[in-house]
Amino acid sequence: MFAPNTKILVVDDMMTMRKIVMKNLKEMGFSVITEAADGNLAWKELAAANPAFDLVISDWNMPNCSGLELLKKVRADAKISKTPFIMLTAEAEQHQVKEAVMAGVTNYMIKPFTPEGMKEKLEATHKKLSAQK
Amino acid sequence: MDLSIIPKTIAASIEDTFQTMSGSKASILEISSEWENSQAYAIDIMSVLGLSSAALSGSISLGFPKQTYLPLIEKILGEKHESINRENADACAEILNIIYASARAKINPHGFDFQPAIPTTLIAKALDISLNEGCKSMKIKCASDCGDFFVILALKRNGQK
Repeated sequence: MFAPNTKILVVDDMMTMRKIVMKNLKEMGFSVITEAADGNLAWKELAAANPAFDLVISDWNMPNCSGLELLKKVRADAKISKTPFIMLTAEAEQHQVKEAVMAGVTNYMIKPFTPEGMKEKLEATHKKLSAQK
Repeated sequence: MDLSIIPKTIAASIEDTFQTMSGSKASILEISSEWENSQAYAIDIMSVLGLSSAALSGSISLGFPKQTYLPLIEKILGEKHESINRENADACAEILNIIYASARAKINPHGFDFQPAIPTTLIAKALDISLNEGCKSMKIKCASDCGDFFVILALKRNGQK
């Protein structure tokens, strides 16, 4: 599993969903959590972060800059291109999942989700990343 | 095109979304095209989402009385709220968003092409609802551990007056 000091960026335009995700992360023991209300604000956080974020959990549908656009920007930036990126979305249609995979998403989580479901998804993501090393 | 799949799938999505997000069981009490005086329901917050597809247009709305909404968001967020306000109103929009998106993924493979949409939320006291007579409207009355709430589905074939 990711270490408790993993630096996590949570991106969602809905405050409620940011609160739910951060509450779940805190209950899992994570303490270094930053939030952003859309892709543009998230990009500013990512560009300014030192040390860099270890994980991004982002909504898909957001105004200004969507989660997919944010993912593409991250993957195109040599400094942070390897940052694990979990897409959090209510869009469960197959072509959308394919689009996110093509853009380089590390994993995706379908809303609604339980705290246990979120923990399993983080564990699966960590396992996947460990296997790639 | 079998339209009956739409309310049935939305009803299933309501139950799943409530159970997963709040741990609160929700059940469908009634799906009806009868529309009594909506003020009897004392809806205090409502999110509305426009539906569009090649064949159909309409809307889906999710409404709560205050006495259902406040305990529900307490369950979802783990924090107590004394009133409905801008800080907690987006929970209504998010719940509707998830209900619609998960239903849409199951409805579209049956020959529909409903598009993504962004909800708008209204906060009011005992909100009255006036439905367009040209639409086929359905009221989905739901019960939950937190209290009753309502989903209203209005659909019209495109080109129909």
